[in-house]
Parts: sequence; C-alpha cells; structure tokens
Amino acid sequence: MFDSFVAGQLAIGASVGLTYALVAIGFTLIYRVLSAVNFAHGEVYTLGAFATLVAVTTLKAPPLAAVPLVIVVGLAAGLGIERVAFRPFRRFTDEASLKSRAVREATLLSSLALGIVGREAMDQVWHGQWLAIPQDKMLNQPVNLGGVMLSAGELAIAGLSLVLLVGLQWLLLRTRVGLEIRAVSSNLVGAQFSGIDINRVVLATFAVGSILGALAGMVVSLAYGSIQSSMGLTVVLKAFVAMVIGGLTSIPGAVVAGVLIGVAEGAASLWVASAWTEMVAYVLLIFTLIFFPRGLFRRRGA
Amino acid sequence: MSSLLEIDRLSRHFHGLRAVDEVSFGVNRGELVGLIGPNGAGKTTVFNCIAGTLAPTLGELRFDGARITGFAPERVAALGIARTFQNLRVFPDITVYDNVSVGAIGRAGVSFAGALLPFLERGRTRRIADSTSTALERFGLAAHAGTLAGNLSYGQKKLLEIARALALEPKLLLLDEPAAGLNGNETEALAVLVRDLRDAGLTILLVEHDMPMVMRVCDRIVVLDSGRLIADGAPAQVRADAAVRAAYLGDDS
Repeated sequence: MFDSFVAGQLAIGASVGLTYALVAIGFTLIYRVLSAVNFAHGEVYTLGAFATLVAVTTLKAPPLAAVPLVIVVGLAAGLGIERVAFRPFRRFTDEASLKSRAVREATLLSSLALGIVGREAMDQVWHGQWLAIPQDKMLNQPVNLGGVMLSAGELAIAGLSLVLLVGLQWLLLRTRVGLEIRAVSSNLVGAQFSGIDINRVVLATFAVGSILGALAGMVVSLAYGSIQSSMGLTVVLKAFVAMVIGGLTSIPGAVVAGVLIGVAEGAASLWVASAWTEMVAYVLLIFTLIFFPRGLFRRRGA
Repeated sequence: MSSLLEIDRLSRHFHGLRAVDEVSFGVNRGELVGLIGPNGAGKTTVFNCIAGTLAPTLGELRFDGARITGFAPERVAALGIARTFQNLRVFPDITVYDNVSVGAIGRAGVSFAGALLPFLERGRTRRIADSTSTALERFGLAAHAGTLAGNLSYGQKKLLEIARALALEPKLLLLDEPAAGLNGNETEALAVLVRDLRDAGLTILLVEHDMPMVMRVCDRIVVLDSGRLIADGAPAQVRADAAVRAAYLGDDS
C-alpha cells in the first residue's frame, strides 16, 4: 500500500505543510507577545516573494543574494504594520485598555484591513498576474532522498524552517531580548514596571516576525517559481489554523501543526479531487477545537 | 536627611471626582514611610501617579531632585523607583529565576549587541546573574529558581514580586499592600523583611491595611482621607491624632 505515489503525495504535502509552518512561526511569535493576530503577515510573505523576483530579474542577482533585500523589505514591512495597525491602539496605556479584548480585536481588524490594502496595491502594480521566477534561478534541482524525489527548494524550505525554529527558540530562551519578549507576553504591566520599554520590545517582535515572514516568501517563491499578489492570503489563513491547532502560543506547536495540515492535505488528495483538499485544514481545526479545545501543544500556565 | 521623593500639591481627578486633592508630603532618604487611609482615600492613586501609571491632573513630583511628573512607568523604573502590586504582576509562565532576572535587566540596561549575544558583555551578564541570585537567596526562593512562577503559593508570589522589584536595585521601593492575603506568620516574616530592607538603607513607601504592622515598622506615617492629607507624623503621634481616629482608626483603636 505504501507505494512511491503515496509516499510522493505525502512528501509534497509535508513540504507544503512546512510552508505553512514557516509562515506560522512569525505569525505565532507576534501573537505570543501581543495576544493580537496580525493578518497583514500574509502580505509580508508576498512582499518577500516579490522582493526575490525583483532581485533575481531586475537586479540579475543569484537567488541567495536576494537575502539582504528580502530582510530589509521584511523589516520595513513589519515596522510599518506595527506603526499603522498596532501602535495607534496602544495609546491608551491604562491597564484596562492594555488588557481589553476590544483593543485586541481592533488590531485584528486593522491588520486585516492593512493586509487588504497591501494586497490590492500589489495587485495594481503587478496586474494580478502569476509571475514566474526564471527557471535557472529556481531551487528546483531534484534530490533523491531514500527513493522519494524532492526538489532542492523543498529541502531549503525544510532546512529554513528548522533553522528559524531553533534560532527563535534560542533567541527567546537564551538572550536578554528574548527574556524581555517573554516578560512582555507574560504580563505587560509587570514588564513595564520592571523597566522594560514595551514599544521597543513590540517593535523588535514585529521586526523579527516580519523578517521571518519575508524569508518564507523568498524560499517558497524560489522553490515553486510562481508569485501572485494574493499568494499570502491562503497561506496566512493556514498559518492561523496551524497556530490555533498548535495551542496559540507555542511556536514549535504551530510548526508541527503546519506540517500536519500539509500532510493531511497530501493524504486527502489521494482520495478526493485536489480542489477539495482546501477544506482539510478547516476540518482539522474543527476537530481539534472539539476534542482539544486548548490546542494540541498548549504550554502550561499560558 | 534630605528628601528623596517630594510630592507637591498632587491632585488627580477622575471625571470631576477628586481622588487625590492637593496632597503634599516627602519621603526622606533611608526612611520607611507608611501611607494609610480608609478604602477610597486615594492611596493607590498616589502610588500610580508616582510610578507613572497615571498622570497627575495637577501638582508636581520630584525624585532625587529631578521632576518626574507624568513620566512613563519604564522611565520611572529606570530612574530607580520600583513597585509591587496589590494584585500580583509576576510573570506566571516564566521561571522564578527569569522573573527576577527581568528586574535585573531593567537595572543593567540592554545594549542591542549584548541583548543578542550575551557573551559579548560578560561583566554585565555576570552582574545580572549575581543580583538575581542574591535576590533569590534573600527571599528564600533559591530552591524554586527553576519553577514556573505561576506554580508558587500566593505568599511566595508576593515575595517573588518584591524580589523582582529589588533586583532593579531601586533607590525607592513602593510596596502596595504587601501583607494583603498573607497569614499571620507570613505577615510577621514580611514585617521583619521590610524592616531589614530599611535598615540596609533602602527608602520605602508602604501602603498597607494591616495596622499593627504599619504602626510597628514605619518611621513615619502619612494619612489620607477622601483624597486629602489629614496627618503626617510618627506612628505614636498619628495614633493619637483626633482627625485620624475619626476618619479611619475609629472603633478599633
């Protein structure tokens, strides 16, 4: 039963799942600190892909030389999103407002709105077409991994996910900025009175999270070769589902859940038409919420 | 003795309600001052104005000779005023050690390079580790260093919050009802601890409902009633004050 076609579908599913995971890392990081969903994260991912395209076509750079440009674009996008969609809602600094659901929901909508504006703007600039990364710049060299054929790009996605995941855990658990981030996410008011500048920590979080999002867009565009202004939308929704299934505040949980969703989609494609596999993530979400209402990997005390 | 903290005609209004009305008093260096008054007297509002949670409507606050009126909390903390809360503000999902470390970082400051690559700044890193360990020892929390703060008992959380505040190495410590919710033994231990801190030279402003404790540990007591200062003096003096008796101590004194 476990023939190479099945294995291939599952492997493709896993690599698609890693894409979700990659996007979910930055998305979950921002949620962890602010308890606020940043729906504009998908557009940062799209911007990362477009920056890569510009780098390899207009600037004729080799694929990996796009990294600095992508980092700068991600950084600028992250700081911009924080400034426009989040900072205005932190101007009420009394405790009730800081903890208020209404303020958090307001940022959910403001980031969604900003994401839509960004998506429409990119749609105008690139006319909503699917644009292609030139073949010779793509990471599409085949790699044989124990009988399963993968492309170099898929391996790059897996590798980058792992590096970012480990790097981020190190940043959060082993550095002072990480401790400040954890303190702010644990108790905003307590952190303030321990001398932590909340705005600085929030900016640092958006910077890191958005750079990760843009890098994800870069690797995915180099692996699959096609770019479109709405490409961030489905991915950010899957990342959101992965975050919820993973337990909302657990970054490793979101990564595992992202891969799980991808594999489940791959498995589903064995039985149903591929258009239906889009439903898989949401079905999984419903089942998780019914049977594990706190997600699969909720951290203690969170 | 010189004044470390000066409160000058401080007022804070909430939609016309004068929660604090032209209150003036000072806290001298090395002094342990109690701030008392019946519920709603404005004690916590005064605290919040000093710590930067609330901006005063009128009046001025001076700390160590410099104006701090309306400063943001993290700025006030960086200048050397640490506070604890009546309802706790520990970080429940990080370890006891890291909770205290956060305070120590607030004191040591973070440079960008040092934040990401701690080994670049060994001296500062060691100082943070040292002041964290010292604070943990002092509060008998060293054995729980690796525990998540959320799993501590209520009394231990109270101590942890004071430990975190002290790791900031403040010049002035603001304690907001530290004895609330503690049992007799814990309150006793707390009184000894607060007195020890004062004897070690720390300046403390204490809001507390536990009268025997306040009377016993404080050098001086400031009494508020309905937002106004009605007495300021030594414990015995305040205890004998007719206005204070009428407003607050009432029947049980």
